[in-house]
Amino acid sequence: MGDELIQRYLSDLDAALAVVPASARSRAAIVAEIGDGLADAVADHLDRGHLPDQATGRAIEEFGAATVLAAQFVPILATAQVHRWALVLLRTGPLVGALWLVTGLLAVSRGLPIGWPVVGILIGVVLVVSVPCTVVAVVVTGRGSHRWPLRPRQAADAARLAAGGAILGDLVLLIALSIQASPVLTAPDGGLAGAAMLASLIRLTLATRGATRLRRARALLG
Amino acid sequence: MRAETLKGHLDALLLAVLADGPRHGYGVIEALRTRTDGMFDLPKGTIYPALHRLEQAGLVHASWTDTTGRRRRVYELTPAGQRRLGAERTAWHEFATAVAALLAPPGTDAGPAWATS
Repeated sequence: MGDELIQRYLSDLDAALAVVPASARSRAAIVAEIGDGLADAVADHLDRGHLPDQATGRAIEEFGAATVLAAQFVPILATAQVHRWALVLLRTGPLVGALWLVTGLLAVSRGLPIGWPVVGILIGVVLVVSVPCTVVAVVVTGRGSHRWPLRPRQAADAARLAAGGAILGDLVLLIALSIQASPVLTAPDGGLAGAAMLASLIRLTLATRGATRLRRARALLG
Repeated sequence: MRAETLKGHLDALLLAVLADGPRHGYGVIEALRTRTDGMFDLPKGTIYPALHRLEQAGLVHASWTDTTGRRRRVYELTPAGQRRLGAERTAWHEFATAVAALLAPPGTDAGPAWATS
């Protein structure tokens, strides 16, 4: 009876935590820790002379309703999600950027008319917005967060903007290259352009997925 | 004592408890209760999320241990947590001194100087 009550409580907690687009591993860690605490609380009440069912009931009462407990973890998990996706953007950005920069410079040196001035301006704007937003999102949701005045929801906004910038930037670059795909890709160093396209496609997929997760995380941060 | 009364001080209390050494979640709860003679018997559900928040901020470090055949998540202060605790102690000392000076009956040592002049 007592074990069943605790298992039901932990199942309810897990279900309530599932509203956050967090990994199952993070949820499982929280549920395991609360289960461990409940076991301690039950043992504590047994030591004080309560019957097993009473001890379980009291322990659960002390921890509060599973949904209320889960609600306190939701912003923590949502903040972790923001941090995770901001890191994905921060880590992939330099690689994708470097590939495109070299591809662009080689194309320009060959005089290929692929609209680089327009592309350059668009990418410049994206970088000016996205890079600071990404850094802010990483820092504000990371280990040094207590030093910064910004809140996780503002970091989520910044990360969403950065994800939007990454999507826009990759789309612009892919469209620009597709206009003149043949001359660029068939050039002696066309493999580099192919790698840039592939990197952008992967990042586009990641950024789109991240944008969806970040939208949900932002909603949970109030 | 009601949890609302401690709102704003919970982080400092948790850091202070962990200053004595690493503890698991329930150990932190027990230490809070015993070190305050039962005055801070807080709802247990509030302690675990607070510990996770401190971990996310880099003030405590958490790790899973399995020393007694039971997996437990143990928390300990990080250097940043120790610095934060020092700052919290200083701020609390200044606050408590100022409040004591205002609330103590006039004429007592802790009373405000203007009340005896």
